[in-house]
Amino acid sequence: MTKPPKNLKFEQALEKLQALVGKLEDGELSLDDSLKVFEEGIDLAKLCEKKLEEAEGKVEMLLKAEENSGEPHDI
Amino acid sequence: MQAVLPIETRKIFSISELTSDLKNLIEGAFPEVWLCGEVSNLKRAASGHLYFTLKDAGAQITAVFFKGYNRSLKFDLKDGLEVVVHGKISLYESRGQHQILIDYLEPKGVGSLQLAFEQLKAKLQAEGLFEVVHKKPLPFLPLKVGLITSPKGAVIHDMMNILHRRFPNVDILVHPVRVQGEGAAEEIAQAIGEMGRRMDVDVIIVGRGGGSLEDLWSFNEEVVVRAIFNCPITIVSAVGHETDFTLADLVADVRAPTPSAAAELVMPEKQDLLHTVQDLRQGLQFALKTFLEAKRAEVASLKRHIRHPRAILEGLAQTIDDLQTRLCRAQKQILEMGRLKIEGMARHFEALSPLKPLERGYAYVQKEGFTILSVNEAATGDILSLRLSDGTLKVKVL
Repeated sequence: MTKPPKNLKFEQALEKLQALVGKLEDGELSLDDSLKVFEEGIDLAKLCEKKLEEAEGKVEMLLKAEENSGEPHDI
Repeated sequence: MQAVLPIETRKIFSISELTSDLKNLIEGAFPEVWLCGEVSNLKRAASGHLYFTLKDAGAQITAVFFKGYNRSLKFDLKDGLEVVVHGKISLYESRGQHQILIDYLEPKGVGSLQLAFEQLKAKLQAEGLFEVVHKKPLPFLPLKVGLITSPKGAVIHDMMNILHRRFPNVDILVHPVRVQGEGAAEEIAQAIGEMGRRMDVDVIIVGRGGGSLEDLWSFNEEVVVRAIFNCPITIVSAVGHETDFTLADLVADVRAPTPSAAAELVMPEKQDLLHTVQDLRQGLQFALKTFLEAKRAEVASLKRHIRHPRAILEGLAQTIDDLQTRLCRAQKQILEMGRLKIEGMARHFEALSPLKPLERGYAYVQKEGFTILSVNEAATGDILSLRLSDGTLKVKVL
């Protein structure tokens, strides 16, 4: 199992994490798989925590006269 | 008496003169009047002027509603509509027809705004704009929230406070607009269009505080409704109070009863989410710990049932020794038994030996090499051998 992709959405990461905890709690996996699932779960938990900190708390007020920066003007 | 007057004494009017007098008379009598009647024969000229007939059961009057006055009409005028109008009566000389020049018109019974609302709602509903299938779900975690509302007043501050309280580091983008008055609807529609094109905004809230039907009217305008419908980002309407329903509310992906409620709806609590993640982390650790302990217990249990190979060998060695000993003993026993048997047989044999009686004094008699058992087998003068225990005697029978 590889590291979770960075563009995974918070909701999906959380769902996957819940599924992994369930799998581990069932106790039906081999020792190898159990350790892999644990590792993947920890990575997902870290990703979730990171995502929650992604927003910077900026408040931006668009001024009427300006177009949004980078937006192409319609001709 | 002749009724006909002499030509010189008649006052003969031209049509124009009569009409002109009538015009003055009529227009003087009704410089302004309120009328009520039913619209029929409605025609809209290319110029934008409206021409129709106002009638009741007994009579009718031509009505003219110039563009300058009818432009502000919020609803569509239709044949059959009962209306109340204000205007002045005039005489259209070239046609000899009286008419009412309308400067104000409202529907009878229901307010014009209300009628406009109902007409537009029916039209857009028929197009399917309000159908649930078009509604998009709220994003689970919006990291950037777009607000389209008035930059003045309590509403925007309330929304921002609630958003920040629930998620302190959320990004907020505000596109300020006028929320009532002439042109406000166009501003709101444009703001929605612009914000909808941004890739970084996760959800949009458009709304305003409470007010009268007139105040909220911008959110019933077709241009705003279509802008909301076409917006690719999930958009929440938050107009007025709980009981206010505008067309914007019907077309939006989600309707919030108030702007504050909208902020609560779109924003999950950061602490809740953090706790959920932390609980899951602990769940992982606990599950792994339990799993490993169970496995260790299994191993320990198996260990108890396994014996060390040396112990096995020693056990086997002992068994072999044991068996060897038993084998030896058994062999000895067999030999001993055999020996005893043979000894017994030997003694027995010995006892049966013909030489044994000789030791007791017996002799056996032989004649010419053969043993004789009876006296009759020997005659006088025979030479006999007497075998005794220690030798042989030759004897003659007398």
